[in-house]
Amino acid sequence: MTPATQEKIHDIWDELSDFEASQSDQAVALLMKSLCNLANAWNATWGGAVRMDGEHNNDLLQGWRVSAMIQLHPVAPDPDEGLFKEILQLWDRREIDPSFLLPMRSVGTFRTYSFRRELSPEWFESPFYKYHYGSVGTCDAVFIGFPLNQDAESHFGFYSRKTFTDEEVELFSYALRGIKWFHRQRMLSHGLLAAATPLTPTERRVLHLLLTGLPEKQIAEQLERSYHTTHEWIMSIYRKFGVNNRAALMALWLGQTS
Amino acid sequence: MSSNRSDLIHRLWDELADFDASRSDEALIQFMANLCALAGAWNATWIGAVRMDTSFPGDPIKGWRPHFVRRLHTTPHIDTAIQEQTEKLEQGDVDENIIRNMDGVGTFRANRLRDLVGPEWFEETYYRRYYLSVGSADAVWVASPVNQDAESWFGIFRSLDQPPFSESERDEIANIVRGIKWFQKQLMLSHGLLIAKVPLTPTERRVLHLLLAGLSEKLIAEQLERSYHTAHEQVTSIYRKFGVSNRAALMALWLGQVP
Repeated sequence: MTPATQEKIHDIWDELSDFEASQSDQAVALLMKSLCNLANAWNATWGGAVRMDGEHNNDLLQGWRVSAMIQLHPVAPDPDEGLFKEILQLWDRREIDPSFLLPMRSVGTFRTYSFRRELSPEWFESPFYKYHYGSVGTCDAVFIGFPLNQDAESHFGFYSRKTFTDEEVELFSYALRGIKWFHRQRMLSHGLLAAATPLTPTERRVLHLLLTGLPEKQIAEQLERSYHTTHEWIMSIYRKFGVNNRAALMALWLGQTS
Repeated sequence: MSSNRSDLIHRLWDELADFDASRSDEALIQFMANLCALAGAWNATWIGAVRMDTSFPGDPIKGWRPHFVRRLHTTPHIDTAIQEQTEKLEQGDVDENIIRNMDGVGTFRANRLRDLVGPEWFEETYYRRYYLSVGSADAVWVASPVNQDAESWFGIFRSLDQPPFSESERDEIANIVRGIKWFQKQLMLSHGLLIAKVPLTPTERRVLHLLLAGLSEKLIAEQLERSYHTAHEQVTSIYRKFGVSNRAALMALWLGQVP
């Protein structure tokens, strides 16, 4: 990586640190977009992975599940129920494609894995590849996994119309290795760290307003809901994070462990 | 950069991210200790610098003043030296190395002493008094702008029996500091240098850290071994300095809210 590229990545880190915690979704979109531009990727995803409780002796995916997912550009034909969602459904049903096993290698350590480097040429002939990736013009994908603890990992995926070069892979890896604080905020904002259950989309909206420090009354106004309804949502968020009040909730974002 | 060294740097960044905001002082000391170990240096200093509203005519550094100075290792001798330097600065008696450093104000920069001044400077009193006599032969100064009126500075020092910093060593130190703007922002906030109108007193800083940990005022009073009333007064004074009216708004500043 050239010093100039490194400097561009440092500028992206600076921009990330200028976002408010309540704008975590805008921040992640900017990060994905900037890295796509630097490394010639056409799309990017972020996934929050958590390991479910229990024994996973017979599970090739060891209890891991992707509990939250964001894509930079929604994929046609159906942006909401897109191809990534179908992949996750197969993952949850444990209809295992060889590509599912890539993130399982060295789970719990920071790692980079990619299609063209690690899957056989035959895989690119498979119906799975052709339907989920080839059909939208993805030739290669590279993923970066960042463990936050034994049961929670933040994964970024980047998708290209050609095979990623070593320099491009190195760029993703460098850019995402240095920002543990950001991976942590990402996971928190989806209720995948410190929370007992992932948050619903509404709860996430409320959560982000809570993090701005607004009083409950004003949060209700912003949501155009009654104070009562809003208060119920807030209580449900506190319950999920195991806290009693806003100060304790915000302290989680400041690094307190509950 | 060898992969081994970059692993060390990443571990250093990860460790910082593992500290909670209420322990930013400990995080700073650990960061400086790790940075010294990595850079083969013996001491480090952090300075929170702000631009004051009033600068006098001809002020060579245009109102910029160091407001908080934290040292990794200190001795009464070093304390005296820093105190002297600060007083000189207040009087507008600014050494050439600092003026040169401030030429780049507003941009991220890393300089060794000899990047800032010529060989004759090392023969002068300033270098003897504030470097050699306190056990330092060379320094790298890294300055990161946090906003228009606030900068975070790190000084990393080599002792008399260590070789001077090479260019690549300077660049590695720069790279390490470059990656932690988010932390430097927290440091400035926790010293009351970013949003607060007045820097915080030492007691207020203790109370602030307990507030950030999410403790109730009752528990804060217990930790401080003060009455609830006294603790509450201090909390209120902190809110006033930051221009907020409650805890949620205070904590939101740490989460990036701009008032």
